[in-house]
Amino acid sequence: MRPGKKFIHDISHPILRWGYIFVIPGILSYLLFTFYPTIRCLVQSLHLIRGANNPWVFNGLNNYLEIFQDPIFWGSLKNTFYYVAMTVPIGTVIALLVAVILNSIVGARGFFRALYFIPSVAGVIAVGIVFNWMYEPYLGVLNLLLSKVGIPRLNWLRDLKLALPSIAAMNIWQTLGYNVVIFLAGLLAIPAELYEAADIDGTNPIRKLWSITVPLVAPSMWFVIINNTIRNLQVFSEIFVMTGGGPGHATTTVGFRVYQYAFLYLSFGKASANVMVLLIIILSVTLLQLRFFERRTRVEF
Amino acid sequence: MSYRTRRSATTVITYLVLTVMALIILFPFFWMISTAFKPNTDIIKRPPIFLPTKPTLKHFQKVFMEVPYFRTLYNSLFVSGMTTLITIFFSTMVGYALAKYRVVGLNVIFILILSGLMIPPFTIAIPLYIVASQIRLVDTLWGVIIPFSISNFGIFLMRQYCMGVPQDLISAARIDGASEFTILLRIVFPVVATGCTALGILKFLLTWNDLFWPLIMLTEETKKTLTVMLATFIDFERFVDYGLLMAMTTMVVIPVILLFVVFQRRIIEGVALTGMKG
Repeated sequence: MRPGKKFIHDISHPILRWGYIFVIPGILSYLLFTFYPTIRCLVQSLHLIRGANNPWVFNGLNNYLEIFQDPIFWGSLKNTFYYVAMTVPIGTVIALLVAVILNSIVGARGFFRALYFIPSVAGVIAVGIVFNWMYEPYLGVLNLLLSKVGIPRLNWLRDLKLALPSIAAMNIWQTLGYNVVIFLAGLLAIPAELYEAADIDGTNPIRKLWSITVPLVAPSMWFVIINNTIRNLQVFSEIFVMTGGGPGHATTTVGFRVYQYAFLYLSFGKASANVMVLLIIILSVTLLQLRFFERRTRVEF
Repeated sequence: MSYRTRRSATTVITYLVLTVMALIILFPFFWMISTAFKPNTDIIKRPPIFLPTKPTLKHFQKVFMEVPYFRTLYNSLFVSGMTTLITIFFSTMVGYALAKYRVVGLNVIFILILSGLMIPPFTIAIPLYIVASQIRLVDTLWGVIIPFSISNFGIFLMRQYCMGVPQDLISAARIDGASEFTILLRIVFPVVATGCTALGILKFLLTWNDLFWPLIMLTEETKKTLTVMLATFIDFERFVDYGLLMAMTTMVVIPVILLFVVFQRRIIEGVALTGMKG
């Protein structure tokens, strides 16, 4: 009765038939909610669609040509990459350091870990709104705290240069706890003997971090980097609640542009073209990272 | 300095760093709650003051006048709860089939589902919004629930867990004459319960805090979830009533923080496991 090593493809087999039955919801949901929308998105990007319920008019590649001629599109691309370049490296390094510190203590580790996780639970909308209030130029608490150390009043979210970095800072703060949890899980898997051996050899802490911890925690690190890169390439919620893409278009990202095209200008064709650009960026960045990851992490312990 | 004093000095510094970090993490929440209880005269004080001089519930009362809070809370619970239940059930069922039935074609399906992990939600949301609007599912909670209720990630995660179900257990049940569906319900689900909890909690938090899809789907005031209600309440052009806004944010955050306090250990285990299984 028990299936051997060989694959069997007899649909009428009384037990194996159930393998196909159980998988039906997965196939249906994949076809309906992944495959179909993706193809439909591609088709939509080749049409003029004014509003959700209006007929489509074939438009060739014009949606793409038009967005490629739009300086706001290139600005949104630049903003998106700039946002990822700020959040991912800094966020990863801080989270790794905090996790290493947490890993070195015995008491209250779980307490701090849970505490750092609170912003992830509270959600980006709520914390984004609280940061809006703290970044407020006149009454905000941040300028007050900074004025005590002699830093003049800054406009944070209303400043062309500072707005995106301010959102990035909030993101680093918000995702810290999540990344720390991933890193800690990786760190706990490193055998203590390695550190003991290094201690006997009199290795200094920085060298231990660089030569033992970093290589052995590499799988967790790549998970954090890839995960955050994919997520932050799609940044939308932070922008929606904190700046609405402004000032000017200083914080308009590709994800926010998708929303603007679809629900402000009711141009679903161009929104879909923007989505396709985002999809291609995400796929290529992920594949690049995965290839790099495969080459760099061959560790055994 | 002796080895021992140097060591205890390091410990003190370590805890100091961790505590400072904790304060940085907690401060925005303190500031949110403190503002929510401040009378307006305290809020506009320059420089700002840290604690309200006379704590007031005025802003909280105003929240109830401005928005249908309990209705919105119910919508959030319904959408997140239903999505979570459906995700757990079907992900385990499909994951079990992919892990334990050695039949032709299933590995192809597994690879397809893995590839689906890389598709950004925008790609799904924009076309499905048009479909939903044509079949009149916009402004319905089920319209929000269905498309994202069976996740590719959930199937992937539960497949990893189901690989660990002992084959002998399944074979023994078959010899006893248990049907395949009974085996799924009575044997597989209890064995992979940890995985189900981890997935359920993650999906619940993700759905609870999601914005883009519910934002475009729910426009009627009485249909909005907490997140959508909060996100659409701010208006960049208008003067912002920060007391009211912070009271509202506090009320949005509190249910989910309470949930976190209760399930803290499980939530963190779940996140850690997804990092490792992924």
